Amino acid sequence: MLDLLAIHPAFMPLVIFFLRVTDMSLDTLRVLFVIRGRRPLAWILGFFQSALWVVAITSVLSNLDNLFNLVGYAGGFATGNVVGMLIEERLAIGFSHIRIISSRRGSAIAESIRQAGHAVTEIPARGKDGTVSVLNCSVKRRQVRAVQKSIAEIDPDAFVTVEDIRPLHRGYWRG
Amino acid sequence: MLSSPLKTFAPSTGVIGEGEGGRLDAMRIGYPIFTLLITIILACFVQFGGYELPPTPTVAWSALPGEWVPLLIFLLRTSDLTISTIRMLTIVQGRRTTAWLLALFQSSLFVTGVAGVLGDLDNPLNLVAYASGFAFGNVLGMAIESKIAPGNILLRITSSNLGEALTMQLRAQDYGVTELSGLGMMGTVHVMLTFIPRREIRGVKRQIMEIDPNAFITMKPVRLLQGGWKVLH
Repeated sequence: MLDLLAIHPAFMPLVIFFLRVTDMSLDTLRVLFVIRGRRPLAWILGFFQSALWVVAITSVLSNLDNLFNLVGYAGGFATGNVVGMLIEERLAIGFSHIRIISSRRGSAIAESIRQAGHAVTEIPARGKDGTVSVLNCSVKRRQVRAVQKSIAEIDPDAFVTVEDIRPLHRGYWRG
Repeated sequence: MLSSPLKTFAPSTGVIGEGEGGRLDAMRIGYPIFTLLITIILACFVQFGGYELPPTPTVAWSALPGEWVPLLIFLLRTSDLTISTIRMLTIVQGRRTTAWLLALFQSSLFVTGVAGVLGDLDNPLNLVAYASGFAFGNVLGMAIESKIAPGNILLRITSSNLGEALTMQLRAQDYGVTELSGLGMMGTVHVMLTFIPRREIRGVKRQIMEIDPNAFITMKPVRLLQGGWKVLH
């Protein structure tokens, strides 16, 4: 338990805010790692988050008797949530599958993605107004942004979606 | 030929994730700084303005007649968990603004309503109300989220001989469809990809089933990076 009574009441909302931000960032990260099936990371985060909860947040809970502390608490909870999401996006652990549908510039896009060192599978398909190309490309999550930029430069009208994948067998991954 | 720009997704509808542009980049640091500022300002008021700290409004559990307490516990715990579940699903979809607002709401509710009851669970009836509120809120949250169904989803439809008719039907309603040809056990099949709002899944599925009851349909959540057809209903 933290002894929060030693803290000047004016700084209490701030202390509560930061404790809650830390706690909730860990919690959000944990949830996102659970969903991606990253067991060791989820375990470690769960351990630290519950330890922090017991040590810090329980003593915070008994100090929420005024409105400012409540604002710090609720604000910290909400902000920690978003901070956790931002950290997870920045870490960008894992792999993504990018699917590009382009009506005219499919081969040019494929060429440029290959130049950048990624692997692309091209599939001919039909859209409303005739032949289109469907390009499938699996990259590391942190490379998605760069790939999207190069696609947008070549064909701003391409339809691009991205999804999280777990590679099962092999694959060609640029380092 | 290009699709008419009128019907394409505006880039700013980019729901989530890695593909967000400058507008959301500004918001990345926006929330934390905003909340921090408010907290600091409040702290300054107390420190230098000599303000009295107003008490947190909480539910006065002791003032309630005993028989109402379990019901109230149930209701509060249900609403708390409903919000929490929706928030979890929002986090997974990467919708930051919504997650932030829900979290703000949920934690305020927790402190003012739910936390007070935690010391009051020695009565078995209260405990049952607490636990069933927790469980019910979980389910209710999932139900509400699938009813609101924000965002889009990618449908993959495989049909052995009615691909043309399915495509025409979907395009007639302004859904964007990309057709691929594949090989099935019994010969050529049509594979159709279409990106639709999650809310419209049921209607689309019914129409597909009317035309080809044997069609094989899967769906998966994907994130839109750019482009695509917007359905105008």
